[in-house]
Amino acid sequence: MAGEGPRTITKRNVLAVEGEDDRNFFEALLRHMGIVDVQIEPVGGKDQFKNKLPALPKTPGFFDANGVSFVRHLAIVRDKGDDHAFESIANIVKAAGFTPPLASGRFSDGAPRVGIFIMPGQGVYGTMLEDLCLETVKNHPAMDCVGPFAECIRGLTHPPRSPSKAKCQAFLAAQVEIANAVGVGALKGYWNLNSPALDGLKGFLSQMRC
Amino acid sequence: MLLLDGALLGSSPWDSTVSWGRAMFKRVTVRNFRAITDLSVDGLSRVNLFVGHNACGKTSLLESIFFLIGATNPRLPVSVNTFRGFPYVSLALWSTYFHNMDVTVPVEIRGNETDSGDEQRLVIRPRYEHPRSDTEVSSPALSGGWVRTVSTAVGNINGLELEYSTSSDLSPVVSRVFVKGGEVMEEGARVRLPTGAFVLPMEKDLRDRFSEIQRKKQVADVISLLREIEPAIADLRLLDPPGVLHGDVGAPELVPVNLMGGGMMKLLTTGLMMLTLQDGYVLIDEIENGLDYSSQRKLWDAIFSWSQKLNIQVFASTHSVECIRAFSDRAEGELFEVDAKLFRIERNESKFRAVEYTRELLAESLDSNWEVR
Repeated sequence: MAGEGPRTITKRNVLAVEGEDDRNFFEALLRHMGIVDVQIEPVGGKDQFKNKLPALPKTPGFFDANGVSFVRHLAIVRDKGDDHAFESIANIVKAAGFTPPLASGRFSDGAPRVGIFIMPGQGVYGTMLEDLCLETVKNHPAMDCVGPFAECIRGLTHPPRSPSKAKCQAFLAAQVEIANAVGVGALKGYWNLNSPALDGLKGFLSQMRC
Repeated sequence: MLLLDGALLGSSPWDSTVSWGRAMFKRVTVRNFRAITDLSVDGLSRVNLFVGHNACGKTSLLESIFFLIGATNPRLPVSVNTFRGFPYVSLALWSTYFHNMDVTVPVEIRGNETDSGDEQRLVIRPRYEHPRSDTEVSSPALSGGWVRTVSTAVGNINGLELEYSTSSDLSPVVSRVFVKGGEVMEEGARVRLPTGAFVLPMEKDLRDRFSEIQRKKQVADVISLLREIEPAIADLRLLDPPGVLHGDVGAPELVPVNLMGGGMMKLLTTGLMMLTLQDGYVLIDEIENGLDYSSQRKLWDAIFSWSQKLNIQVFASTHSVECIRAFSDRAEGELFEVDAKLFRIERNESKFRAVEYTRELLAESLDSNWEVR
């Protein structure tokens, strides 16, 4: 986004994600779903939600001069990580003056309706977007190469901190045109966006249609 | 600079002095003033920067705060209008203070103080008089101007009535400014503390301020500030006559400061004002004018430091994102905790709203490249 002027809120739905590459992933997924009226805003990492979420609604366009929310839905997607991700985001939402939903994957009532989705979602093993992406391609021929690679690195003295990220990189490296990040891979169509593994996330995002 | 203590405005002696003590404004509410229908700004801090689109009411908000500070100085509205470009006193003066020029709805400005919660209230109404003639005359308050009374259906508007009261003292102080015998007159005016001033580069005021600084032996403080822009400056002298401020920048002769550039003048006028307005209020419209980014940072450093040290509440406005970044960077960079906020004034036709940014929220928004203006 370097070189662009400051951004205002111009769309009725705002999706706050962790980083720039998450933006790429969701741009691809939303386009695939035919949802166009969503402004994706990366906050700069999962630790930044507490700083950025209170600032985001201050941005011109979020509320009108009457104080009425122009934004219908504020969706927040975060990796599960190793802490209480949902409670953490819900508390930040509350502190920002909004009503959080009761559970991950749902939106609250109110203006705007606030939704929280913790990756990779229910029924998918793992703690992050990468786990979800890998699940979408578990039957892809390239995964036959990724599996032994993952086995091999597990035996290293100093194995990668995130095996899921390593496997994603290996999968992306196995494509005809290499992609250096999962979001870029999504833009290139490397993940199977029709996979049932994405049903939970798609169901969450679909709520922004109404 | 416009002063509330009468130094610039006073063609008539003040008839009494009333002091209400000193507290910062926490909240200001403005109704029916110029373009503003109804606007409240809550959570005001020591240093306040107002931003927003053109015609959103930033300058009107500054003016309304200024009027509230000088609520017992009825000549103030007349003088403020001269800086809005009104060359003479006429209907175009008396009605301009009222929203949609509708003089039947009074202007109301309220301010709530931080500690006591005490509320100050200023109501401005038109003053009517049946004139014998409709004439134009020179105004003593306005160089090269004229005064003209104007007839209306309910009488002749020939002035304003200012009614000031506080929640702790409900008996109002009423003062008036009007035209009589071809002159701008006032009655009921009182000097009121604390004082406040608009930063405007005016030669006479510069002289007066510098003289006061000399008396207080604070010239070194001003020079120290100016060195941020002109490292070579070693001294400031008021050369008399004609009383023009000169600086020693190492040249064979002293140089008039107004030849040293806009940034220099801005720092000088702001510095002189703050050093002479302890326990008061300073208002600066379009603070970025004449200053590059580096100078803006230095000006904010000085404002943050002096506002705290001298117990001054500052209200400024800007259009410039560069200036906002300088404000944010310096507020974050100060060793002491700067009590500074930015407020965006939003306007949608007749609706107004102030959006408050703490310095932390402002820094986060700028970091994310989210618009704050």
